[in-house]
Amino acid sequence: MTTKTAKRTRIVACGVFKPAIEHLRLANRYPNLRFTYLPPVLHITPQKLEQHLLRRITAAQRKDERIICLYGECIPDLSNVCQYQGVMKVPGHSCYEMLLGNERFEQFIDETAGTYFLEKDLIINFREYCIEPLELDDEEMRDCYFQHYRKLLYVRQPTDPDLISQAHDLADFLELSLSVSDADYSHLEKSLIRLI
Amino acid sequence: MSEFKALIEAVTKGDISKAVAETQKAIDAGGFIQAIIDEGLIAAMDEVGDNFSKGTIFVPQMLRSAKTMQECMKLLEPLLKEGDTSSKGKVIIGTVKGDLHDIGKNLVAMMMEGAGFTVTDLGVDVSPEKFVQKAQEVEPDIVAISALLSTTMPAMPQTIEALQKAGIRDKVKVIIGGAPVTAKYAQEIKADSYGADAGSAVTEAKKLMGIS
Ligand code: B12
Repeated sequence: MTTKTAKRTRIVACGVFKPAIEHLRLANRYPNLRFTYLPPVLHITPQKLEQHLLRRITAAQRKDERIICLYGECIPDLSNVCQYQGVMKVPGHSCYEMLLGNERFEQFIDETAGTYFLEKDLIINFREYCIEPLELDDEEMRDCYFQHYRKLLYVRQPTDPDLISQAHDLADFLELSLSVSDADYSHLEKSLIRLI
Repeated sequence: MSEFKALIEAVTKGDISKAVAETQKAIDAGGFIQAIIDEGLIAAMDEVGDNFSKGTIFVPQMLRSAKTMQECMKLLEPLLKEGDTSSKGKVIIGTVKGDLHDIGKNLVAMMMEGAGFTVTDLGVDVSPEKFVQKAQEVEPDIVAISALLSTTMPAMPQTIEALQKAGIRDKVKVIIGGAPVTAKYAQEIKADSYGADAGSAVTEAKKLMGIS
């Protein structure tokens, strides 16, 4: 009798999800899972993000792996791109929505469009991801980008270090108020397990 | 080679004082005002747009060039009004409800204005009702809608539907754009046109008005 080994599944994910995936111990629970993380800084240049993502997808396809894409709609039309590539995409428009769950996320955006979301990685790397490329140290530039915003909403994860004072510093810098909302990993876990 | 080479270079570099001086020079030399705009400023911004698409410049450089063009326009606009250049058409433009991205929309508005359209900018987070209300008030030829978020794209067909319900859909042409928007999407939601960047927004707007 021949035993057929189950096909390997690769999650190609944005690096912001690494702590969540480790916390959920997916690698232990599903031995056939493999992970590829891409640098979150790619978000500001969606074209580059698309190139990197497609390269990783092609590499996994060559190894005959099933592929799950753990990204929001961070490049135009990503859901359709995934469908075309035969890749399963975790539903959701952004990491904030995936962490908070659709209902809570919608509540926040319905409250005010003037919300700028933050998560751990963005807070820690705000200088590299935003201040430098968008030249936010220049007050006129800062105003040009953020004049219509009202508040920062820090989506705090269970694995986050204490980032409250850094988040406050950012709020001061951008002249916005700060709210914090705790997100457990239940929504993300459900969406992932459905596809695994 | 363009007679506005120095002006184009100053705008692409975002060098305000040099660009303003070059604009003044072109005015003093008795050049046609619309030619200074079309072959100088708009040509420069087309180049800036190309460089952005190629990834050789990023948003801040684009903003600086846009600001430079605006400063030059301050010299040219009063002269345009003195002359006999009638408006190419009326446009209302806004970023859809829920979306606060306005850099691209502002560029489109500025380029359309430069090309001779009369533009009313409704700003950001514009609800379908507000688009309708302004369209009734201004009676524009074109309604231009911008969206940068996948979550706010559905507000585009909602706006078109609201225009339809208000009975003014066939009185205006709708053009849409923004990074996640495609020509295919424009077709699906029955917009009249789509522009990938500010340069093509102007070309498409002119086509909609039946001018080349
Ligand atoms: C700058 C930027 C911001 C600035 C916006 C400043 C401002 N005042 O506009 C800041 C930092 C504040 C910001 C905020 C957010 N952003 Co943002 N942002 C960008 C970024 C880096 C560039 C956008 C830009 O200005 N491009 C430059 C202009 C010139 O290009 P453009 O807008 O595409 O416009 C051109 C064409 O599209 C066209 N066009 C545009 N409008 C129209 C209209 C018509 C009628 C026509 C014909 C043509 C046309 O012509 C323009 C000129 O050539 C993009 C990524 C990227 N590189 O595209 C992300 C991006 C758009 N943002 C994104 C996100 C998620 C957000 C936030 C939700 C993030 C957060 N942490 O909360 C918030 C939005 C909140 C809200 N309610 O709006 C995502 C959207 C993904 C998605 N799911 O849809 C992107 C794609 C980043 C990513 N890869 O994830 N952002």
